[in-house]
Amino acid sequence: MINRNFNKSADQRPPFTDLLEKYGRELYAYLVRMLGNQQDAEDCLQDTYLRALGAFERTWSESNYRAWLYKIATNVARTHLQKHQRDERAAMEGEHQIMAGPQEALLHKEQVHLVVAAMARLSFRQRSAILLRKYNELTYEEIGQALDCTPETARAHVYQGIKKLKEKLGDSISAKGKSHASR
Amino acid sequence: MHHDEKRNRAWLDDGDMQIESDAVTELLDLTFAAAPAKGEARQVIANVKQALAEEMGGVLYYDVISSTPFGPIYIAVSSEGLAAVGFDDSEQDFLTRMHKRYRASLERSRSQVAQVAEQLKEYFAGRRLSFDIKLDLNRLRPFQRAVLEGIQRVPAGETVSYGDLARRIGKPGSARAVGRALGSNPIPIIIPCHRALAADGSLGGYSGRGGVRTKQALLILEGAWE
Repeated sequence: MINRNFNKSADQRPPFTDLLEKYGRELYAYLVRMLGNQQDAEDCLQDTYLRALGAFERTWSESNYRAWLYKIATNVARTHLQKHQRDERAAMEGEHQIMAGPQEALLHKEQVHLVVAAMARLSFRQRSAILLRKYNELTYEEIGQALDCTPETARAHVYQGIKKLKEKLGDSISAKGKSHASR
Repeated sequence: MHHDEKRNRAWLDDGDMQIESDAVTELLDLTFAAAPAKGEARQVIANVKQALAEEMGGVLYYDVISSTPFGPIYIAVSSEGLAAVGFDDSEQDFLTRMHKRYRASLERSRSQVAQVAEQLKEYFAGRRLSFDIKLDLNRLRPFQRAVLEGIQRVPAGETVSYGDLARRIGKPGSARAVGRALGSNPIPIIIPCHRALAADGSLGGYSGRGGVRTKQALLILEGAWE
């Protein structure tokens, strides 16, 4: 499908629906990780693209559409969590749908639960920064754009988040660490 | 899997942090590494695409018939029916106008407009006087829709005055508003706004390419003008 925006300055831009084809899947994965379930993630993905469309049509141009979309998705996710009156921790600790494959999930159910609980103790930005860095492979520059902060602050969010996770997960880590070393 | 290769790659680029984070990383991966299944993601994206299309005013399929007695004529068809016929000066002009008016995605398609193109060609060749085409008037305001439906009841070979048409649609005294509604007829020729004349029987106006000369030519074609 071709969406043509014929504003003069906009002629060089990609058709808007290309941005869905290109980045929809990774944004969806990010939102599933952030929100813990597929239905909320789908709703938020739709909101993300509808908001983006509005901005796109106001002849707005951007050099990094990917980072821009992550920023919108992050804001949508934050609003979603606030609006649903579930505080973020409850959302994360609740029925978090496990991303790992079914066998893996069964084997490591306890650990997954621990991780979800530990993640829920982080700030929204720390959680978001860790997931963006590790699973969506954004640069700190891009994470900064998404979280409205400098790249240095984005990095600090990741590092502090990891540090906090390590504290919370202390015991299971030493157990895992051993099995890892013995491989 | 995709992520397994990357799992051990440094994702924190600070050395000392890397050592500490390996174990955390492994636990995180257990929970978050797998991406949603391809089929599931595809379905979600298709749903979002649908929502976007609705927000953007749907899809309009368009094409141009280049050889008519009045120059190139553009045609746009929605899922509901024929949405626009245009005397625009260029494809770009037509697309810009369509996008502004309908916020739609525009997709060129010969086959989607084939029926309209065929009937228009027959009309220009004098082999057809009325059209059998489903129209999409959904986006119009009620008054304009009433005017356009009113003029469609005037058959080829006949004309009506703006004032008469106003009376026929139950809005006596709104001849000027009727004239304006006809002047912005999105589907000229097929919705025959050219069959409305001034009260004194003169041609009045025509906003299509060629102005009143086109209007006169259409009326001659239909046998309503000497």
